[in-house]
Amino acid sequence: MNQEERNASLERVIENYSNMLYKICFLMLKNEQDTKDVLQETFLAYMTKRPHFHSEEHKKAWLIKVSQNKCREFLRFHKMHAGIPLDEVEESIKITKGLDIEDKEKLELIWNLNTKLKGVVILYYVEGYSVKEISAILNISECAVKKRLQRARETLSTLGKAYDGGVAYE
Amino acid sequence: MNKSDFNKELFSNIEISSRMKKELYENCKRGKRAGDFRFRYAGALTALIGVIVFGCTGAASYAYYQSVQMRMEAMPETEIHEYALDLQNDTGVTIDDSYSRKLSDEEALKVAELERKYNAEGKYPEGDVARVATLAEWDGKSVCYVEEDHKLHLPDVMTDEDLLEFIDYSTKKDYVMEQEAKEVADNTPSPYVSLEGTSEADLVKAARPALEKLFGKDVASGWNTRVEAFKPSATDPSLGTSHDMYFIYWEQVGGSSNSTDYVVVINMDDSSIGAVAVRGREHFASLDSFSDAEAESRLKTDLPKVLAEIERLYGYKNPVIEIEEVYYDYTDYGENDARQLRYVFNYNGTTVDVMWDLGTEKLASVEFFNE
Repeated sequence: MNQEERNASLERVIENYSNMLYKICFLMLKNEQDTKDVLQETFLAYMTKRPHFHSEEHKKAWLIKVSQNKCREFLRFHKMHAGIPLDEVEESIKITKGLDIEDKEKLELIWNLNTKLKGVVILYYVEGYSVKEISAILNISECAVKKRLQRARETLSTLGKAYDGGVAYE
Repeated sequence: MNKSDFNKELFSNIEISSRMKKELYENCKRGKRAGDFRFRYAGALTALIGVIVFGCTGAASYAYYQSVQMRMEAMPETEIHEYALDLQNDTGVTIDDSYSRKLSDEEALKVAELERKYNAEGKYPEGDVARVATLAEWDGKSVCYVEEDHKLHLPDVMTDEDLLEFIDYSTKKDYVMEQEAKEVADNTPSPYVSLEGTSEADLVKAARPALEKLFGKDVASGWNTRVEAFKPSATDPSLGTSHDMYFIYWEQVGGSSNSTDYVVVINMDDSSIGAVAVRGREHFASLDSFSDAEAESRLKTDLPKVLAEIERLYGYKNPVIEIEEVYYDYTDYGENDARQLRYVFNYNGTTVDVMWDLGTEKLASVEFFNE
């Protein structure tokens, strides 16, 4: 692959996957600048490592895995900087625009989940991955994925008083 | 809760901008790494080098800190190139993901102890980490970098020599990253700024009572102090000034990012205390471990103790409980290995976010946010 082809490949992968990765990483990091840094590191790893993928799904899973690892590293080193509340982030990025109060509160609950639970919740509910697929992406057992999902549901339920059925919220 | 029940619209407004996409493409095309990311990642080593120059109290320590620096600078080009390649190939980039297995608690504690000797007393390994092309070539008895999977492989039982080789490898890798990061960081706006209108000594003096209030009178006595001025509003005014903070650290002589340290955060806006915490993998490894079920049940039984402690220390009473959860460290110590609980309370507009050590039944951190 020559330089021109590599650049075209990079452009395609950014076009196809940057929005999904941005969503996942932003929810993890709660900060736009940090999210951009993680994405840059992720796409750069894609460029420099040039891994061989069996399919687009394989590529997508690889990008998620790398970006999640980078998020975790970032948080490990910068725990103290990572606690910006949702309402303050809203000042610069209107992420709750158009949402009603109940949905805003739900988003706030997910925003405040701890990172391990949140990572699994996003992959399962937002990206639609199966337990088995998440197990492979995050390199944890299927049992661990199920437990985290269960704990996330319990946490959301406890915090939201009733999160029964996922959309019902009191 | 089924997948189909989940309202994905909640996240529909979280979108990458066209401008950011373009920047990502341009930066990656040129092979430019995220300067701020690496600059911050390399912070621990920056701190160590800072100590070399400013923080040491004794001439002997100074000499040995210098010796670490000299050891790094003496690396031949071929070795630097090897570490640069390791960094490039390191996609499983959390600390543990770069190794064949996680360190045990005992090993993590021993690493922290030996790191201090490495940094402050010049205690280095006799040999270097071996390198082999394939896993089949590794004898399983020594620390070894395997090019096939880009991981550092650790033997089941690690001697002091093995642990020192492990430390030496990590320090050199960090150093190479630091050097690469410097080039980028020099040309990248940083949220870390120099102290203005105050001094390091004044900030340490202001922070010390908050540290002692939470952790006791003689905590971190004789440890080095370091101060950072974190001012994100300087690079992005739209953030406002509410996240502009001073970070005052107490670090052990020879300490690294693994070592226990203490931090007090002072808000620049009004000089109020933003957070007080004990941190570090060494601290975490020293805590007792509990099953998930035990930790879950302790959420309720420990709650009154946590509330009483906050009231005793800070006078806050009768909060609304916003979050109560078992907290798992970012380094992923695995299931049934819970060590801390996290609670978030709202005291009439003041949010207090605390970490509670299950084993010691003490607060490990307190963060304050005002509405």
